Amino acid sequence: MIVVQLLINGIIAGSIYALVAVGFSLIYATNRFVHFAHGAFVTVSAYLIYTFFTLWGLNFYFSALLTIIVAGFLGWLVYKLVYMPLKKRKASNAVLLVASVGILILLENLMLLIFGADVKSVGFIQIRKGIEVLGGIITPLQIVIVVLVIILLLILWFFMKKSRLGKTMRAVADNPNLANIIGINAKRVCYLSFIIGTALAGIAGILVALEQNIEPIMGTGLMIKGFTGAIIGGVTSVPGSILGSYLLGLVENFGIWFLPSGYKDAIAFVLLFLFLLFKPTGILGLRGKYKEQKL
Amino acid sequence: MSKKSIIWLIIIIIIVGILIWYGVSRKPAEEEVIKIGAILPLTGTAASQGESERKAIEMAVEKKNAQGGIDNRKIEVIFEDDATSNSPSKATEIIKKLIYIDKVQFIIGPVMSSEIEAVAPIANQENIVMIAFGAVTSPFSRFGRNVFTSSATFASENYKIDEFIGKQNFGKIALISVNTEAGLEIKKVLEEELPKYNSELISTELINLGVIDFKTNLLKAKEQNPDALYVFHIPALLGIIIKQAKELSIEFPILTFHNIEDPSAKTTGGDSLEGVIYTSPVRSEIGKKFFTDFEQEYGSEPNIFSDAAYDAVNLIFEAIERNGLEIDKIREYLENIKNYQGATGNISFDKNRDIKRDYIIKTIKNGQFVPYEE
Amino acid sequence: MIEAYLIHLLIIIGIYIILSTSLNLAIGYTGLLNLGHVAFFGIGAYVSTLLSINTDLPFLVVFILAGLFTSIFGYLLMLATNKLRGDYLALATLGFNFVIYSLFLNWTSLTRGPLGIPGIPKPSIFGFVFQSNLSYLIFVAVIAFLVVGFLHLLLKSSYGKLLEAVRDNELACKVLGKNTFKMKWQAMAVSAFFAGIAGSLYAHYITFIDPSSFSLYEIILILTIVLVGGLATLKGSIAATVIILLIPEVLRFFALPSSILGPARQIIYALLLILILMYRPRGLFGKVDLG
Repeated sequence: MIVVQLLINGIIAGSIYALVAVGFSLIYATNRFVHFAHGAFVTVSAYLIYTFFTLWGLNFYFSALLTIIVAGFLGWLVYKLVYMPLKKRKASNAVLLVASVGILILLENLMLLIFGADVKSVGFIQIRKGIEVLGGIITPLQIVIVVLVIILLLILWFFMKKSRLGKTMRAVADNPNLANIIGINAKRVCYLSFIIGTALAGIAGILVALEQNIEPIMGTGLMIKGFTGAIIGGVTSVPGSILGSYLLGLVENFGIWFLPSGYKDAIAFVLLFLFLLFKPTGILGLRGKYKEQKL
Repeated sequence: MSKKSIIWLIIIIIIVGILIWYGVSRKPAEEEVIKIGAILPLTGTAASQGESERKAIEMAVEKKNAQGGIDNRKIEVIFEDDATSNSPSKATEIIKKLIYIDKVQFIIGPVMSSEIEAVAPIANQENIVMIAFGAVTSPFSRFGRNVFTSSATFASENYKIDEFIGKQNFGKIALISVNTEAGLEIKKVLEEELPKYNSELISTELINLGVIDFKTNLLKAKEQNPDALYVFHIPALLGIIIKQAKELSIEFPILTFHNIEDPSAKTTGGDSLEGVIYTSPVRSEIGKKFFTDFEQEYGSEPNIFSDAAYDAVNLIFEAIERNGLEIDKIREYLENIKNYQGATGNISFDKNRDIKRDYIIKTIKNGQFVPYEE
Repeated sequence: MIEAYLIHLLIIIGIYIILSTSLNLAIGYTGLLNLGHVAFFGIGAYVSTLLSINTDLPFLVVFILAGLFTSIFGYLLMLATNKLRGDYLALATLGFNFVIYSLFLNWTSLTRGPLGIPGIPKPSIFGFVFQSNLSYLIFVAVIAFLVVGFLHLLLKSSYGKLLEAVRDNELACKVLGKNTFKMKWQAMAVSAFFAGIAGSLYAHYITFIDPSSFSLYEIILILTIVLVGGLATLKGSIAATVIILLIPEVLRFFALPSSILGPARQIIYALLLILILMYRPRGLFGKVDLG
């Protein structure tokens, strides 16, 4: 049945977008600026797993772990070198946004320079025929991705709701000044969430590399999709950004059943533009005006 | 120093730098060398193709220079990469640099129809002869008086596959193609030719360059229940399309073009390429010799279109040898080429400056490219 | 033939001076962080192309129409984003850019999509055809001079001061009874108009346009120019245009293979952008900060 297949395609796409969106929105919720370069960290992570596993021949799971760690480290590096000095100088959100776009371009072109522009494959999963599920077809890898993303999101949800760090993150996201008064080190929380968010980008990079092959410019497209998903669902809300991403994945895949396939990206752009204009807080975002804050 | 002075200093330094560069590049003794510019995809998704073309051209140039060049002048080829900019209008910058700064008199390439379209007017305006090849479309004469091609169009491979389709009684064909001039030409030819073989094009999916997820397009095609799927894209993405097709359990035959033999298709497609059926150009005697020479020199087989690149540069040599360096005479000579024996076979330009080639049907069996047997 | 290349460079610089000064009008003087400026560039290019190929209208009419049509989009964009501030405004305009890009790519019956439109005719004014590059350069130079002159006079006048007041404190202006929305959309429309005619100049020079010329990389380039030159300064934008567009030419000095040149160029622009924001946020001659 077509509907089932489109549903499956939509969920697969949505899972990947959700993975990108959730790291991004974690960073946004606490730091309150648009870290557009997040997509580039996904790209960098994809190239990292390619380097560790395909080029250096290390064990796959070890490479994956290494990728996540290195990604987190690179996130810390960029935060310390660029964002922290800017924030210290009370740079406006606009400045941080433009700086993040600069970082995106910088990282993508570094990848281009180092690895070349051709499409790379990671080659861990051999091509296996899809399994039929309720009339639609899904490959084992795609099942793994969807399940993994769901598990990850559940872990994240647990973490945010129950763990101490998670709770302090939510407190900072809600009201940083108040959090400071209570004695929470908001600055530390901010950069910790940045590192965790980037590590999540690391996981996204690994899965995207396996499923879609690797190109230097893939980060921009993924960032736009992830960002759109986050905006649709509510960028300040981590569960919101997940919801929005799945919605986007579904709308895209059902949409291009009826429209010529060139319009796939157009669907995302139009949704992004409309939501930014009319409902920037998204479906699950904060009610009323969102709070802009500087630390 | 004050802020303002620093800025003025920087501006002055840059201007001085440009002037020095201007002066330095006005070197004398330019006349001793015949310069040819080549615009090829040396990096990017078509890099394996571009690199091979570069080697083919260098092989030809080395050979000619070893013979003393032409009229005692050496040949120099300046290679430029058009793939990292990935845009036809940026290609116009590359050709301008080649013409104005490197002072080339001939251009080989580019290899994509939209880029040829963008740079052709400049070649015509500056009176430079250009021989392009690769994903060309007909009528080639529309690119202007100074522009020629050394390869046949992809669409011309269609005619052979249509015969095959007729023989196999594939009544319904679905097309998945990249959205370029070449792709559109293929669609047009299919629509014209298939009815002659009791067949029809029941579904067309045109996909923009840059898209790497074809699942929904494949699904749409599959829904129409075609007897065979005809695919056209650049090799790296051909591999992805076929892989995704197999993942979606597409069982009916997949037909494609000779560029499936490019190694980048295997990199992305792997084992899923097994059983694919495609048209492949017949190799002439000179073509076979070119093949073995290339293998001997570089230790690997030449890639697709390398024979066309080889022919392009040799055509230029031949034109210069017979006409000197007068562009007008060279142009006239090339216009009237008939039965030139090249690595791609017998080259004759028809009135549209298009080339015809002969093809056979091949398939991939156990990872090898073999002629198709019933 | 180096002179020929120099002429080519100067034409490109002239077009980008128009683009960067008009963007500075929006960002620097009116405080509107418009990341969709390149969409205006593209709209002007496509309108000019389609009109000159499909109609018999004289070039000057086509040229002005391209600007006017684009300025309508400027107004519409301002109308849509009036309530947004700072980074949200930037993102919405960026979204606008992507939507327009999508239109260029997918409205194939109009724009031929990714195939682009070749064969754009050279402009002709009162019978004189700008066939040679030198004549085209003179044309571009004249237009650029007029644009910069107009902007200079506009911004020096009390209207200009008012725009800057809106940038600095919109609420105060409103309290004083000014219709700030009107001022903002007027500024945006003027900015869009000039971007549109820059697009026309570009299209008729390269004689081929396709959607890829109006993407994220173009935005980065123009934004870098405006920020390096500084906000609220016309001479800053002019100086920065010259410097930044000459950088890739200076790179040629080092005889790098062109596979390195492409990404190296982008890396330099990106680094320049980041460093300027970090260490010299006012750029060369800027008078205000961003945001």
